[in-house]
Amino acid sequence: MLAKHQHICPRNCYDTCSLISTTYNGVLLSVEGNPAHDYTKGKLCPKAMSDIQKVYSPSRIRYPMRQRHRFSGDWERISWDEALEQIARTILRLKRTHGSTLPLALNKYSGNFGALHNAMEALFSGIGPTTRAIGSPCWSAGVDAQTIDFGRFRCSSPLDMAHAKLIWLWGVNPAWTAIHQMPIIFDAMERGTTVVCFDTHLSATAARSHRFIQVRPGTDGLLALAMGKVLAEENLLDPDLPNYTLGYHDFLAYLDSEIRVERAATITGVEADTIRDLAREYGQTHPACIWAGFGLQRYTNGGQTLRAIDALGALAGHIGEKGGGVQYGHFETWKFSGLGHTEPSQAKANPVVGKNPSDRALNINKFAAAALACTEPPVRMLWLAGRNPLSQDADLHLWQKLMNQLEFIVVSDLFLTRSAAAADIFLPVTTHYEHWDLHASYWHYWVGVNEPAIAPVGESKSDLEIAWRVSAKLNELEPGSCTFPTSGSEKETLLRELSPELLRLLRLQSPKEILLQPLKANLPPASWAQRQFATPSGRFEFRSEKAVQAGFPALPSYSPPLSPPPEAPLRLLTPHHSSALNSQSYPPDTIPNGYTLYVNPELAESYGLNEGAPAEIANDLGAVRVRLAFDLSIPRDVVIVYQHPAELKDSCLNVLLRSHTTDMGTIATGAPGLALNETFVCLRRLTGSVQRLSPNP
Amino acid sequence: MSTAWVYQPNPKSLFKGMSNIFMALSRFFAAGGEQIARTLPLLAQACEEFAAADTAWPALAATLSAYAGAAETEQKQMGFEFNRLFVGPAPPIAPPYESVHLSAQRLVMQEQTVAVRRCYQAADLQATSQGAVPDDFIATELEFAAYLLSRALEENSAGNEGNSLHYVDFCATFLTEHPGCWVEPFAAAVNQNARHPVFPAVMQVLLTAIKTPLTIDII
Ligand code: SF4
Repeated sequence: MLAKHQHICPRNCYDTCSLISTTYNGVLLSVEGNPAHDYTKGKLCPKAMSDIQKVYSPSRIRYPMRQRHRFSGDWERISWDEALEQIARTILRLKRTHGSTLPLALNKYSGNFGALHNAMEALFSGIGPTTRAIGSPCWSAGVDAQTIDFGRFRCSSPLDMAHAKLIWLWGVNPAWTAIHQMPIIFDAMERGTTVVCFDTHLSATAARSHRFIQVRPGTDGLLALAMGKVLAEENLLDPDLPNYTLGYHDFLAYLDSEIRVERAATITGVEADTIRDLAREYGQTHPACIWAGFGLQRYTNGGQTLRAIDALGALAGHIGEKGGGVQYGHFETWKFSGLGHTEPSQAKANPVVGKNPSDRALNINKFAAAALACTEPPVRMLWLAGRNPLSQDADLHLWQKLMNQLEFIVVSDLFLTRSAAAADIFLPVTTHYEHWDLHASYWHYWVGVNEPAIAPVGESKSDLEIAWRVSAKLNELEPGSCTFPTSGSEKETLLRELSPELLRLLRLQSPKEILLQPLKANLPPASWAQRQFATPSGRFEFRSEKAVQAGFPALPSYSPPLSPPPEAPLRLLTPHHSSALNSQSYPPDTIPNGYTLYVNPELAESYGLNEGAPAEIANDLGAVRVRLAFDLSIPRDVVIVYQHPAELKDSCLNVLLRSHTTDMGTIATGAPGLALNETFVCLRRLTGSVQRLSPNP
Repeated sequence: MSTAWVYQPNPKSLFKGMSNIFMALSRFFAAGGEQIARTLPLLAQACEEFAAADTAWPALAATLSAYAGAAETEQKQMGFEFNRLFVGPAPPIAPPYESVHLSAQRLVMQEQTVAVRRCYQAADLQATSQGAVPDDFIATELEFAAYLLSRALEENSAGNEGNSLHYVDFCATFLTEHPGCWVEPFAAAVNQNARHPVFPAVMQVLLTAIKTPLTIDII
């Protein structure tokens, strides 16, 4: 019998697409975009197109497994009851031994962004105060910047961009990473809108824009400040600024005294005349929209970069404009109830991590170092869910040390990732075609459910089901040892996750109505249209007391990014690829057999390297073999590797990554972000052919 | 020109012996590497019991019996190797599902799975794990063959020769159209990669069983 089911793509992706699956007699046959969704419009990206391969991959893990010795590869299949018994007994023993539940650590992030996946956090909260990874590797500095400037993290509906007469795509590559925005942009272009793309190299989006502005990595904030200065000099400031902003005199004084357009031109690589032209066009065109991407703020000065761009938008009067504003992301629809144990205020502030005040909070971006440093009591057990830190995090040498030192490691996942190879117990989880869930987007305003289309593959279980079972086992062994529920209905839990605020936003009389179709929240299409802000002053804050209290400068200001050390003179950038998302596993035949390093041909020539030549990039942390490909648009001091899960077949790129953190992040997400783009390497010539590296343990 | 089938000599012994071997092979794959200490002796025993009826089996039975008596640590290693070959968590060397070997995308739950399910339905059967475990899991296919032969034996014993031949024919066709289409590459993958000799031995039993004629064709 044919059946249709609705889903939401759960990846950490702007688009959070609405999907329709077709099954025949319980077998998943196809997945398509939902045409009744004004953003997805029935189209999907290549990542979701391989969903069936993912669900039915013979590599997917079907049973709970136990590894005899960590990293040995000697696995035995065990029953769920055995797995749960071992997990629960270990938890209770550690609690007894240390007189505390803090030795238990949870490190979970965005492998699946569904609200019911927060069950893992809720389970740990139910056990007691535990050690938690907090913050975000993705966007923390930018979220803080916008929270400081606007008082709240929100953006306009992405459809609102259609009204812009000028669109600046700044450090964002939607042609690869948010494909549903491109038709909106193309449509606007056809109606006469000018599109300018700012990036470090000619991205697929830049190639489709009217104009490409190449900016030296990490200097975008200075470029924004220089353009702000031009606006001030040329009398292009919004005359209404005194009515809705705070501290603009101070900010203009800063621009006047500290920012020189010619100097900014030298540093940013954008000619002074171009800076002036851009500023004029931006100041004179209404509405004008800036979309600031996440890559922009993955520098040690990332928060200030976003603040400078916000300030530029405000100076020109684009904030609150229909079709204008500075768009970055939002939390407005992440109003989940928190599964009973997530502190609601935290759930609001950070959709990813709900934590108890008594938890021991470790920055997710420095987790290994922080966990190793914990002594009273030490971290003894780690549960990884929706994460693959041995592939994706910085400080891999510290991660390796931590993994070797821990007493007990549980990993719940779909496939054997690099991190799962460290597990003592592996628990197989369901995909979004096998469980109920509730999803919101951080870009558009839609909220929708996942309904199970097929039975769980093998013995896999949802995170919620796993959490219930762990709690049940804990309570069986020691009554009262976990307050998380011990059983329930996924569907009912989902319905309870719709908080009164979310019900109001979705205009629902009853939670059950969400089961019928995805719904769009009743939010103003253009954010801050009334120019009433959520800051302490109620104004857009150029000068922020909140920033000062958090230890940041009061005004948007420029501090340079890190400079490369002499022994590693090349900046390594690792943007997302069009067909992969971080290390999420895809059919093995689509995983490349190694890394391709994109370089300027002149750089290659200076090393005597041809296109396709084997080489090595290295720094004091490690080395990775690559094969060279040429891209004329890449600066000579920058090299690029697009993110691909190549580490499944080769060495891991992140051995090169040190955990430099961003300047901001503590206000909204609890910890600074990861300054991923402050990674420096040298390029080494290799003689002979590249040998396959054996995967690191 | 039409083809008809008649029994092999000693049909009861053949059906019983082959049914037992298919069932023992099914249990070997279904129970997993952790149960090898239990399932391998059963497989050896099934081969041994059939050894009298056919000259192909005594050597196989002897080989399996030797491994069935392995020490506990070796049994453990066999279990780990079983998982490396057939289960995971690393991508298994020889996924034990028909569709992985025969479908264009090498996935589970493909048209081959549904075709196998139809065979079960034609015999009024449904796999108890349908949905969670693909119908074309090797253990399920082999259990189905064992079932068909056990029915053939029952009918034969009851003197219902026509019904008995129907089950034999069904089984022979099923074995040809399903396990027979994929166990060779499956066994080849095992033989090339196995780190313990018990697995090539089991593959030999499997291939011998699949290829054992159940009837004699007459024209
Ligand atoms: S990865 Fe993003 S664009 Fe692709 S289907 Fe999922 S949500 Fe849509």
